[in-house]
Amino acid sequence: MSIPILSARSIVKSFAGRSWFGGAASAKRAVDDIDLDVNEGETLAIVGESGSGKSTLARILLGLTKPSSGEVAYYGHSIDAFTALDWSMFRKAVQPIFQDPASSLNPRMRVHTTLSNVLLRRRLATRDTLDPMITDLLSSVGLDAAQFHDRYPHQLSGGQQQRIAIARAMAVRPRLIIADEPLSSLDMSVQAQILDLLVSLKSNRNLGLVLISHDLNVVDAISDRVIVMYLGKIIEAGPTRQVLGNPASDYTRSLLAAKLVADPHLARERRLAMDAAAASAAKSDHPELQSRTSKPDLPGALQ
Amino acid sequence: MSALSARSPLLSARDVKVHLRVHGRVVKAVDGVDLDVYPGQCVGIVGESGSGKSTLGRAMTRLLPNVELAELSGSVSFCGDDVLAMAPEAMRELRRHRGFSMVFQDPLSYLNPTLRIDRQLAEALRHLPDRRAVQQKSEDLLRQVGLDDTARILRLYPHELSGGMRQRVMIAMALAPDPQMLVADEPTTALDATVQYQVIQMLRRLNNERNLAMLIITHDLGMVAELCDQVYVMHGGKIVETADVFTLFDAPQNDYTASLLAAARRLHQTKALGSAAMAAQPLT
Repeated sequence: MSIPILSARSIVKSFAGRSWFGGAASAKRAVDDIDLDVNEGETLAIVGESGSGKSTLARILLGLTKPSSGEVAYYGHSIDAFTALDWSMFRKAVQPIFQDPASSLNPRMRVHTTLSNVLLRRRLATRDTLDPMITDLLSSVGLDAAQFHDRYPHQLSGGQQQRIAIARAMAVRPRLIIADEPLSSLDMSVQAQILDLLVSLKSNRNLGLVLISHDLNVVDAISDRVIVMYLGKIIEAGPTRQVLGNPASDYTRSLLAAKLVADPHLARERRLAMDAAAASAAKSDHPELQSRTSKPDLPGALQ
Repeated sequence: MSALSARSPLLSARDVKVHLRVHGRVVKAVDGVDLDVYPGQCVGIVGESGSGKSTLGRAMTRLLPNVELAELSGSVSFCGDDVLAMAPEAMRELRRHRGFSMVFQDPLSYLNPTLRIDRQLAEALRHLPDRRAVQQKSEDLLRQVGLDDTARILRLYPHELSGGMRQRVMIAMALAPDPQMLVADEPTTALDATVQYQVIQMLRRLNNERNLAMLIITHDLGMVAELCDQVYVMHGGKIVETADVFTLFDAPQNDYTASLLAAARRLHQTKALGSAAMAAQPLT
C-alpha cells in the first residue's frame, strides 16, 4: 500500500460557544476525533446532514482552518511543519471546488483571465502556450473556448460556472480535489453532466477526490469509500457498496430510507411496506421492529 | 381519474401569460399555460431553474413580486372566481377563508424573527373569538404538522427552531385559514434528507386526511414521484407535457421530459442501494 495523499489523525475542532450576554461559554465540538486517508485515484465521500461537521472537516483538510488538535499530513508530512514553499506546493496539489460557483469566481474577471492568472502564476504556461492550454482546459470540461473565453461569470449559467471552477482547479494538475457539495446548487440535468465530468476527470488523471455531500445518490454514483458523519463523529466508514448496500448503523439506514427515488411505483411500494411495518409493530409490539422505527441511539436528538 | 374529472376543477388556469420587462427586453417567463387542480388532488409542476415554474405559481396566487410586467393575461379561476381580475379586498378574503395558502422554500425569511411562534400563528387566527380558542387551534395546527411538544414550541422564537420545525410551523400557519388548496414552492429544498422525507410524508398525510388539494412546484422528480398525482412539466415558460405520475415516469411523450427523467435516474440510480433502502425504516 502506498502512502496516502492526505491523511488525518485524531482531528478535533471545537468552537467556543457563545451565550447571549457573554456568560459562561461551552465549547462545541464540530469535528470530534476524525481519522481518514485518501489514496491516489480514489474517491472518498463524506456524508452527513447539516451540522455534522463535514464542511469544517473539508476546511481542515484544505489547511484553511487549523484544527484544535490532531494532525493532517500530505504524503506523510505534517502540514504543521510546512514552510512557505511547502504551502505553495500544497495549495497547488490540493484544489478545492465549492458549492456555489458564482461566489468562487471573480465577478470582474473574464474566463480567460481567471484561467490565465492561475497558469501564469504557477509558471505552467508562457505567453505563447497560454491560449492553446486554455482551449484544452475548456474543452476538457466540455466548453467551447471560442464561445466562452471572454465571458464574465454572470454571463454563464450555474453549470457553466461550475465547469469553469473545475477547469481552474484542474489547470494546476492537482493530486487531490476536495469538493464541498459541488452539485447541490445545480439543476438536476446539469448535476448529471457535472457528475459525469468528475468521474471522467478522476479516472483519466488518477486524481484523488474527496467528495462532501448530503446526497446519497451522488455518493453512490461516484465514490469508492464513504464516511458517514453525525455531530462531528464518524458513525460508519467503509467501501461505498458495503456501507450503502448493507449499512451497519441505524443512522445510515435512516439516511438511506429518506432517499427519494425518481420512480412513483417504487415510492408507493415503499410507503405500503412502511405502513404495513408500522401497523404490525403497533399490533405485536415486536421489540426488533420497535427499535427500528425508533430513533437511533445517538447523542442528541434528530430533528 | 374518472371520479376526479367528473367534478369541476378547484383551480383552473387558461392561457396564462406572464411577460416581464427586463432591461428593455421582454422575457416570456410564462407563455400560455393551461393547468387544472381538482379537489383533493396533488399536482406537481416540475422544471429546471428559469423554466418559469415559480413565476407561474406566483401569478396564480397573485403574489408576483414588484416587477415590470409587459403582459399578464389569461384567466385563473378558483371556485369560479377569476383570481387575476379580483379586487385586492376580495383576494384577501379568499386567502383568509377557505381559499388557498402558500408555503415557500426558505421559512426563515417568511417568519418574523422578533415574535414568538404563538403570536405569529395568532395573526393567522384573528377570526377566532377569544384567546382560548386561538390557543387551542394553534396547538391543534402544530399537531397536524407533526409537532407534538406544542406548549413549548409556541413560546419559542423562529431562530430557536430547527429548519425542519420552521418549515412545519410555516405549513401550520398556511393551514390556519382552513384552505382548500396549498401552493408550495420548493417546500423541502432547504432541508436535510431525513427531514425532507418527514415533511413530504406529512404533506402526503394532509393531502389524504384533509382532502387538501396541493400544487407542488419543484425541480426534484424524486419528490414528484413520492407525492404527486398529476404532473405538469415546464420548460421555457410552456407546459411541454402533462400526465398522471405513473404514465409520465413510465412513458414520457416529450423529449425534454425524457431527458429530465434520464438525468434523475442517472442521479437516483440504485446501484448498491435498493433492497437495503427498501427494507429500512425512515425515522418519523
